[in-house]
Amino acid sequence: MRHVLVALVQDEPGMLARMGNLFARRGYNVESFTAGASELPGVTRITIVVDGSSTALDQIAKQFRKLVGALKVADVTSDKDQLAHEMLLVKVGVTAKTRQEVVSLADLFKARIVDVSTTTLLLEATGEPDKLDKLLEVLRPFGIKEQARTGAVFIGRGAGVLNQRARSASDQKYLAE
Amino acid sequence: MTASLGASPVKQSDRRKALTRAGGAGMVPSTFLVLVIDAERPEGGTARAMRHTGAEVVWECLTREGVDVVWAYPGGAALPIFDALAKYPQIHYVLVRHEQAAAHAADGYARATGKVGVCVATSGPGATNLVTGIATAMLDSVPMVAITAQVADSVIGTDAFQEINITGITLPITKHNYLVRQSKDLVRTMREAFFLARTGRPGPVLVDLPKDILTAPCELHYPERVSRPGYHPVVRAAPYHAQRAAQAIADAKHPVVLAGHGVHVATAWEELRRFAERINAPVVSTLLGLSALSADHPLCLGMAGMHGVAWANLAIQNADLLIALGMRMDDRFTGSLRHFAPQAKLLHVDIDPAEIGKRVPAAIPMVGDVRFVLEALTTAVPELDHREWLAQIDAWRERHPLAVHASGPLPPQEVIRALHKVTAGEGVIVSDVGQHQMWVAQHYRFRRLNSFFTSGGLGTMGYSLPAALGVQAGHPSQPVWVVVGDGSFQMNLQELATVAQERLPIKTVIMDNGYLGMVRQWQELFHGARYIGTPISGPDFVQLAASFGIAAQRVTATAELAKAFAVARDSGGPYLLDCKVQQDENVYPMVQPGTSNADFVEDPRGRAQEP
Repeated sequence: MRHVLVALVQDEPGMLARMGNLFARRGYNVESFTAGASELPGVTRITIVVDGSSTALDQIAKQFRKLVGALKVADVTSDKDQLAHEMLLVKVGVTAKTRQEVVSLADLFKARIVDVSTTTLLLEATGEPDKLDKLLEVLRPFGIKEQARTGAVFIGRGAGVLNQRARSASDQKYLAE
Repeated sequence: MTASLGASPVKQSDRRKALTRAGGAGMVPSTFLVLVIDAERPEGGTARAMRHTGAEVVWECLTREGVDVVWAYPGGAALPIFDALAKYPQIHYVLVRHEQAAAHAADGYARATGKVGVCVATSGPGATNLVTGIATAMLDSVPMVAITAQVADSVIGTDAFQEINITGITLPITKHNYLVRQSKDLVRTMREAFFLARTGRPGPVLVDLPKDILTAPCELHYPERVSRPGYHPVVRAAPYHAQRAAQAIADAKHPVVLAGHGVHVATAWEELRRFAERINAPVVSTLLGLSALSADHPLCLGMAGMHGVAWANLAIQNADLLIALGMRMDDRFTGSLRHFAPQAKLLHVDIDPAEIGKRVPAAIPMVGDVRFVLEALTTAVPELDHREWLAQIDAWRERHPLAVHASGPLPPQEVIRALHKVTAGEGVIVSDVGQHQMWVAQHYRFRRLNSFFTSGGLGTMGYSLPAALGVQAGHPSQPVWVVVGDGSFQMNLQELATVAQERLPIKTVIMDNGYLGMVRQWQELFHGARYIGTPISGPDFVQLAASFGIAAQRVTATAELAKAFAVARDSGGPYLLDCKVQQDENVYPMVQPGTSNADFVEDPRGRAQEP
């Protein structure tokens, strides 16, 4: 089953290797792994989409929490009210004849055209991974020259936030150093 | 001896005091307990600002952490560390003969004292030689700080002479590791390394120090407190679980307590005894849980598992409640999981949440320090009586006794029995890995608490002699006994030189059968008795010992054992006994891989003798 883990980790050398080691050790297939700055200074937010049984993922989450520098690890797979968005950059081959057709498809998917050459269009789209899959599907007949996807990032709707604990006074003090 | 070691004996009471101080403050939230320990270190918190080199700061930090002995091997990049040592005569430095031994010695010291063991090695091969010792400590949750020198920061990443990425190599076998790249991070890193090594579930921490950091000036502001965001080991279990646990214990008809290494780590020996007595339940040990309860205690059943005693395995297989304390349901202990304790509910206590439910689902999970959990449980449960259940176990013990059926001149089991006699069960024993290890576990009846040290999880051959260097430093007032096979001994026999140089009264007992015995046993049972790669020759061990200046003698018959052991015990210094034991002896009982622990195979010669 497909699981989504969201984690807050300290931004320090070796952290990425430690996380990679954790997944590689048990041979999990990581579908996507996304890292970026969180709202806390010095804290990176990681989103991992991975395939595995629930017991296996429970064990992974527990081992993940044991990494020194991991502040919060949550399996958000079953969270109903959440947003999962991804960004896609895709270079589509066009001719004078097909260019307008691709532009209208981009419009339909609310994708932006960020670069134009005589033979290609570069599209930027964001949204649910499924939506991006569909966009790629309709573009495929024109010839996809190159594509880059960020992997999805997840965030819950409403006022709740993933991590309260990392905002405790002692943690903030440490992070400020 | 004591003077040459420079290490003071750590009394159990001192060790307990340190922990009580940490846990005694009832008003402090449990997540902060670990911080309190550190804040109250007598030498912690001095915020002197003096000019030191990085290397001096390393020793200053070690001194503040209470370190008075390190096992080390010098080298090019590590030169500044060794040069600075001249200013710290209070730290006893033991030159081992191979870095692996430094790691095992630090490990043995940590297991024997509960303090953090420290080993030091140079960059490159010095660091990689530590790897097996670090992994051994990782698998057995032993607090250790390994300090490695590194090439200068400016040449890191250029494949410089003796450069290796040791933080990368040890990433999966350390609790955490550091490469210090700026002088300003050195003190905090050292502080954190010790904090992480000893708190929560203990483990090895490696600190890699580039040579230029060691020589550069470095400020010494030793932080009073250390805090790692997100690192909050739970010490006390939630009361909700204690109530459920107490109910399950009260309801159980056939409870069995499983004592693991966590009982030693938590110094919970007294609490274990009181708890077991209160609920009148038998106590089974894992390999590393041996000596958690005196073998003389009527509730002590000994070790279960692949080579566990029959009655302990039968108790588990017929139990309706298992109370697992600080153990991780290792496959050598459980046998086939599908058949493991089929009627039992599991109450699992461990400080590491990841161990609970990892192999066996726990009906009642209790995350916490074994000592605090046992204290809470003992007050929450009524006094119970399980005399029928205990009588049943006694009947199993009578039907499947642990007998010696070997008929040769020197059965290996008799060597362990003789060791037991000569030490009255009060010996401090370090065993290696293999058949002899299992015979120690079965036939030595540990009366002294926390007196058995061996590599359990990793099963590291060559562990015992170097580990004994550290165990002896933790127990300076009495000799340490090493029980080792001729194969294991030849993996690290160079440490006899360290034993001789340090004049340590380590008594080495070689169970010499000319085979890698445990592997030979498996070849006999599962590979058509094709003994490939297992017959092993060796030097004349008595002459070898003599060449190191160590007294030794050979034993070839059971009748000679008592006298030889007495001579070894009473000799003031190191001693070596080369026991030429029966070559083809097997360890019984044995649970074959993939089968139930109830289906143990007993010594066929025992059956033949029955009428």
